[in-house]
Amino acid sequence: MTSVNISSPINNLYRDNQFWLRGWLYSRVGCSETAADLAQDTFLRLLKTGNLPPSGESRRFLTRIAKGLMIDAYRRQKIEEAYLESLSLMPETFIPGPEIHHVIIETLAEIAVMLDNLPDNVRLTLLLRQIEGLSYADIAKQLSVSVSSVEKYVARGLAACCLALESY
Amino acid sequence: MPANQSGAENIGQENDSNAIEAAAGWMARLLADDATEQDSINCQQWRDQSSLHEQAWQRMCQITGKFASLPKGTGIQVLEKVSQSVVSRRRFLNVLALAGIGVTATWLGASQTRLGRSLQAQYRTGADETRTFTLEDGTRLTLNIDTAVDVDFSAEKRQIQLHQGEILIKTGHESPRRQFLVTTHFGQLIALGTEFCVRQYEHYARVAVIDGAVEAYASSGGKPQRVDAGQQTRFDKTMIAPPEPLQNAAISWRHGKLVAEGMRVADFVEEIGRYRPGFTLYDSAVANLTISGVFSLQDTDLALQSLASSLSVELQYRTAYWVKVIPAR
Repeated sequence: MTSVNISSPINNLYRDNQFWLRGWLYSRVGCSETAADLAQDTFLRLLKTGNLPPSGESRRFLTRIAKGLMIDAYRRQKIEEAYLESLSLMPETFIPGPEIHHVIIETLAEIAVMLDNLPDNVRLTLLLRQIEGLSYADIAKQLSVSVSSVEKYVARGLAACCLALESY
Repeated sequence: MPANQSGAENIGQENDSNAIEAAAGWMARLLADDATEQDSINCQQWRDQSSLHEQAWQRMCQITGKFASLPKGTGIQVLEKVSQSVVSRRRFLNVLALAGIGVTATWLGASQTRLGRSLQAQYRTGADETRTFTLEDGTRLTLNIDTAVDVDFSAEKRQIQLHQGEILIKTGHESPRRQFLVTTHFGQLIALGTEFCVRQYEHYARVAVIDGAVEAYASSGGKPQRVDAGQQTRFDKTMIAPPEPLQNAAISWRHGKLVAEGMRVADFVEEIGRYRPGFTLYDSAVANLTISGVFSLQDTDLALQSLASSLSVELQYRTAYWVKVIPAR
């Protein structure tokens, strides 16, 4: 299939489910604009991965993707809010220029996905070491664990981040 | 097509993830307070062993680079805040490639929606955990996977709002006794000194009473229905079904098991699928076969294998995250 023809599976899927999916999203996010955006993103995601649902599973498949996107969008919004709030608490001279806010928020969102599902200790260890620059000994003290556990947490966290990033 | 490649991909991924784990181990060693020159030499030797190792190492450097690009202080504060306020993304989605998506300002209204409320709930569990909490009156509240609950105790009543998922409640004894309520999208339950499970589905809720009794009220009004120990019932906004005998499947999750008693394969797969990342599907030809037995919810691959060995069905794996129960060939 080299040429795009109107009866391609993805087109059929879009035609048959687009309005329905928007309605489904609307009932959850309560805003038609956001629902329309998320519905578009859901199909975009399908196009990118090329993973089409088996027949009869279309709607279940679409809602699963859409749910994930809703959570991503929600988290992204929370990151932006928390970031802006943290800026307001900083002395002015330390505040990064507005031109890099976007880059920082992007990176934070990416890292938040990488850290998703990691146990608290592993996540904290990684953040304390990599962002705050704390030594293993200091982290061990803070978390009341052994230094060798800290090393294990770092290894485990980094590996999980790497795998998460690949599927992002 | 992905189906043809899946075998080869799985093998590739396995080697890949071994290399990544090893690279992470080296990185953690080099970041240690007591890292030595010899550690660096050993790590370099490992990298030189194969291009797979070197690639894994490069990826590890990308990760550490991302952290390094964040401003001190801000980063950790924001990330910790977010990880506490947002429910974990379902693991299955991690396998899909994700594109950046635009967020409109209107999304700010999200906290007022059903999803927003459940993401901000006081008590939450992720896709692969159950948790038990003891509340101030001694009530034991257990959350099954993917569940969000708010607890509101006042001078007159104890109220639990179930936003999504499934809970087990064992009410605490107190005197004088305040009323104990569970609110769902579809109506309320009043506990009459008791132990019971409530599960919220998309279009209805189900209550299963283990001990004592519960009174169910549909949200649009009407006559309440009493549900006694050993009974279960479903209700939506407009009506409450007559109670029927309690099925073990409704309460066995509290022991990490699925107890099926003549359960349809369709329902079985649906139930097991809740506990698995990815897609768990069935062919319509096997939907109405029935299965009985005790299955582990902790090892769902094993549960599916047991299904396959007791009925004439087969498991078709496209990837580890996509399994379908089909008729045996």
